[in-house]
Amino acid sequence: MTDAVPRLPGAGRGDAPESRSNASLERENAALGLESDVLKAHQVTMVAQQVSMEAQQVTMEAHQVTLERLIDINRALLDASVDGIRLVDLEGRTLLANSVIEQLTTQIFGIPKHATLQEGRAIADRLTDPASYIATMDSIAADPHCATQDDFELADVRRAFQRHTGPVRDSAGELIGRIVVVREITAEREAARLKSELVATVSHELRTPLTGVLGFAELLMHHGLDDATSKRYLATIHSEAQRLTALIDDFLDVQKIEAGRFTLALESFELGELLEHEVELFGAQSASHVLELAAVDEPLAMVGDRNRIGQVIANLLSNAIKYSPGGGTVTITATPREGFARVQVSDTGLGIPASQQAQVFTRFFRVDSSDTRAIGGTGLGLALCHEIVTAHGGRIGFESSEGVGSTFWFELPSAWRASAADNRARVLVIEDDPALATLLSECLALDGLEVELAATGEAGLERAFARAPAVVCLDIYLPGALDGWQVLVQLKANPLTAHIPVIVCTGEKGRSTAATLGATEFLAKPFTGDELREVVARQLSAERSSVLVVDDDVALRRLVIETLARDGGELREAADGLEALAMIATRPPDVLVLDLALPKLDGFGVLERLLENAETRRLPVVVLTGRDLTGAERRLLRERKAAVLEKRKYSGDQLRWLVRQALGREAEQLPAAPRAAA
Amino acid sequence: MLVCDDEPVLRMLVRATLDQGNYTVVEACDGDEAIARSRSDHPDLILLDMMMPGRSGSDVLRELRAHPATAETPVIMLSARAQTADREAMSLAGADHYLTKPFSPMGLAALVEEVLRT
Repeated sequence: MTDAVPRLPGAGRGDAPESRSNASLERENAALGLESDVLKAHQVTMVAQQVSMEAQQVTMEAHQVTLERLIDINRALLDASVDGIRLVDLEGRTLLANSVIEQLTTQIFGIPKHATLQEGRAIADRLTDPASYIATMDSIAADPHCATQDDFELADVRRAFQRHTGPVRDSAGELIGRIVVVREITAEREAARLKSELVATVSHELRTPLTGVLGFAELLMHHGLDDATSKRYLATIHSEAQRLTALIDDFLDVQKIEAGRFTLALESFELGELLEHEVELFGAQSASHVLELAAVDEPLAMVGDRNRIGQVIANLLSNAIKYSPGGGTVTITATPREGFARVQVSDTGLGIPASQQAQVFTRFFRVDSSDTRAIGGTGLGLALCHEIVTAHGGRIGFESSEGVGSTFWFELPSAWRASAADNRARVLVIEDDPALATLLSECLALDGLEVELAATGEAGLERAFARAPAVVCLDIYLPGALDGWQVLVQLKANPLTAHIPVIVCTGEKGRSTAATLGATEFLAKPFTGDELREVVARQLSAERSSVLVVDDDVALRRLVIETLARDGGELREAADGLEALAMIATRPPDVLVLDLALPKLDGFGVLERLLENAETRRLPVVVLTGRDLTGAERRLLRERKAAVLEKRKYSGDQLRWLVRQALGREAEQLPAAPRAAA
Repeated sequence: MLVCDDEPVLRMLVRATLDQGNYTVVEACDGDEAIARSRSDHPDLILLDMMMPGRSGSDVLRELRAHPATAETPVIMLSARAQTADREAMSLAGADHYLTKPFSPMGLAALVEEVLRT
């Protein structure tokens, strides 16, 4: 019908020219034409009405769709909120509520789901301040137009909430109800409380030595004191000022660690030497103490932040001396263990009362007894030691009995020793199901891999920190305090294990979590033994890279090799440019770590010769240089795409990162090597 | 004169200050000792630190006030915290005066003299 109607006016106009010959006819026609115009106009109106009706129908259909979607969208929006949101009518009955408020109301507040707003008063009895809560409810009841804001805290479960309410009006401005938004502020309150507690403690800790400094200075100014007394006062001022300085230093250190701005400058060092150095320093400070360092039988080569570890040793020695005021012997031992070294500092001093032992590593703790009060200190030293040792993936602890003495110890992993000891790649399997664990280890043994099993997250972490494996296979559902995700987070957070590829083996659900937390691969259970072997082999081939280190300085070469050994793979070394070229010609490495100042042929000479050969043209190079480079040299190295690390800025982590980057670049440029070759 | 503070340096400072004025100074390094001394030594004035490990200064003060032997003894509180809330807590617990650390030894001497005179 819509098609037919519009054609009518067109047909009428088409008839008109044929009737032009006769005047009357013309008039008639004119009248007719007029009539037809009226008709046309009428018809147009009808069409317009028709169209508008249809349009209306379409709009209504569209509206229907939008309304349904709108409800969904609103529901999704409401439920996405972390705040509880409820809309109530004028009688306080719920019109709309999101899942957060429903859960809070029924589970936390213990109010029936369909209770009205005013019936919510029932929780007043459980609040720390019922009066203010009731006052708010009263003002809502008295004035439906009012907006309110109040905080309330459940005394029994120590949870605090903030509540905003306000009137809701329709488009005509008519009051239709009230919106209630409830936000939990328990964590904010706790943070604020801890902060003000810290500020109070710091203020107290700072003001105490300051009182000594200012007070004795004032006494010195106003009194004619004899020389001996003056000297005594001056000595006190000096020691209190020193205490103030130490306090500020320690406090800033602790803050730095907590803010995550604490980085370890990892390097290789000999722990025995460091101990000797610190013992010597402290032995000179106290005449009444004997410091006995038990001879260390074998070298204790460590990877860590030498200065920070020195700080830990200094703190333990200083405490041992301070807390044995009568003098005596402080015994220091260092023992190598499988994959880590243990340092122990024992004194025969006052000891720590059993009741206070739990707080030893907390900030501002100081042993409190009548014997120990005269002993100064900031109360931050051991908290700092704890942070440093933990950051190294180590452990710290003590045994003590009051009046007998204390033994403080710490253990640090010596990762490179382990990786250098055994060429066979080791896979750590963290899996609690014994049958599955056995199956996995048998599969991996087929590829000649050494497999280590751990049944809990804690055991797994201990193994990984003690001796870094080449690959970790990690189950997620584990018994004990740590689940697989927590293990993964800790592995990635520790500089000693962060580089180890982790294969998460669990149900399909965890895939994105695994990737987010830094897992390299994801194997959904159930998987076949071949699938596992393939994934592990892929990780190992990435690990089994070959690096050639060229430096004429033996010590530096050793340092670089020890540093890189932590990432696994083959490490070769050359002492001059010609030897390096010969070794590259025999078998090119995956990465070349090159010093520039070399005997026989210098680094630039080596790079030039490598460019001549198509096979070595693209060999990734990390340049280690002991001197500043000229602009031309920098340009040359940039063209060659060589990474540059200056020796005076050397850090083990930086070097490892550059080498890994270089390995990755090579892998991107070249097509993947056939699997069979690996 | 009884001085109770867990910090030896502060006890030393108070003693050095009050020695000039010919007072006999008795020291206590925690709340328990302060309460015992207050009953055995009958001090004319007690100087009490607010923030001590174990029992806090206000706990000790409350106990002093509850005991007939020390209910009327003037007490000067020493505090590292000068916020209004702390002051209120101190006077609520029955302190006569308070000094904020760091305090001036001269000021302390003057205050002690004034308290003993009244």
